[in-house]
Amino acid sequence: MEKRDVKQGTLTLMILRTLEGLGPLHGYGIARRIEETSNQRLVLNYGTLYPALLKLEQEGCIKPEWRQSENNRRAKYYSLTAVGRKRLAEETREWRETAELLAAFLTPWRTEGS
Amino acid sequence: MRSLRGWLARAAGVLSRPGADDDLRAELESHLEFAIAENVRRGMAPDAARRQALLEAGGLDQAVEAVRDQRGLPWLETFAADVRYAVRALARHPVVASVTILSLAAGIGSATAMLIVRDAVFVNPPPLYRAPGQLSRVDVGRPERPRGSVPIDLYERWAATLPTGASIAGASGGGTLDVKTDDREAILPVRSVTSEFFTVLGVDTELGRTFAADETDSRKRRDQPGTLVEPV
Repeated sequence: MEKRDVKQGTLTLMILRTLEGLGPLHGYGIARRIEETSNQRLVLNYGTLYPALLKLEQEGCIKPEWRQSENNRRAKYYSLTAVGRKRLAEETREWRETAELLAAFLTPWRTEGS
Repeated sequence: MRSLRGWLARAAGVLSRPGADDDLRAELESHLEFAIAENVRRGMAPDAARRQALLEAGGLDQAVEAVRDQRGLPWLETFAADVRYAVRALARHPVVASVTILSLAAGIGSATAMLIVRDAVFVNPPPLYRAPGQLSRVDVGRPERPRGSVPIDLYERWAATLPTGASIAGASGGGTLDVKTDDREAILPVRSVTSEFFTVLGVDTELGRTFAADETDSRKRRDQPGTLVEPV
């Protein structure tokens, strides 16, 4: 399967959901997790990931903190805030609705009486 | 709310904290090290592991640039840089700058002053009459002369059937006359008016007097006193 860039607007949800599932995580961890979850179909380069992280930080959804990683490297860990949890719930609902809507359009047309 | 908070954070980012770039560099370095370590763990040689990690990063400098854009408000920073450049350029040529600034100031100032005067004289003149908004001018027109005068009989009928509170006055079309006062003589524009004229307009005379009670019959108009309202 071809690798593709993350679609505009979906990265926020992916980051928040990853932090909710795995707890505080550094940028590398978040990127790896998103790539794994997408079954390696998505690639996340720095220029996409870090502006998105900063934006979430500016909006108060995540909180950064420098600390020691398990293999003794210093890394900046991001954790979900209360604002972030609320945002995640909102985004999840919105994307579910969008996905359902699109699914309804993408199901094969059934002709009358068949 | 979400965007307001983000916007405020970005506006604050314009006054870029000095450590912000270093912090970002350190963060990207640590990301890179994680990636290299992972590649090595998968069995790559250290050099190849680093190369591969850099390839996947998609350019560190571009990332720093993209984060900087998100940190501040690029257009505000560009504008500030333009202003600084302009100030420096003006400071380098003080004579040219001061001539330019002074002529702009003079131009804008005189145009403003002219428009203020025009406004006062033509658009909002000081009130000449007591209640200009309640005054109406009535003409009786014909197709070939749309602003003709009101026949005196019609005027008198109107005057006799006015609703309470309303008043009416008439004035003729005017000409010029040699006017003599005690110490001077001049040709002045004149017009004959009915006795209610001054009360309807709410103006008083500059010289002389208005009509007395026994002079109000319009049929005795010829005996009315000369009255100077205002030399025009």
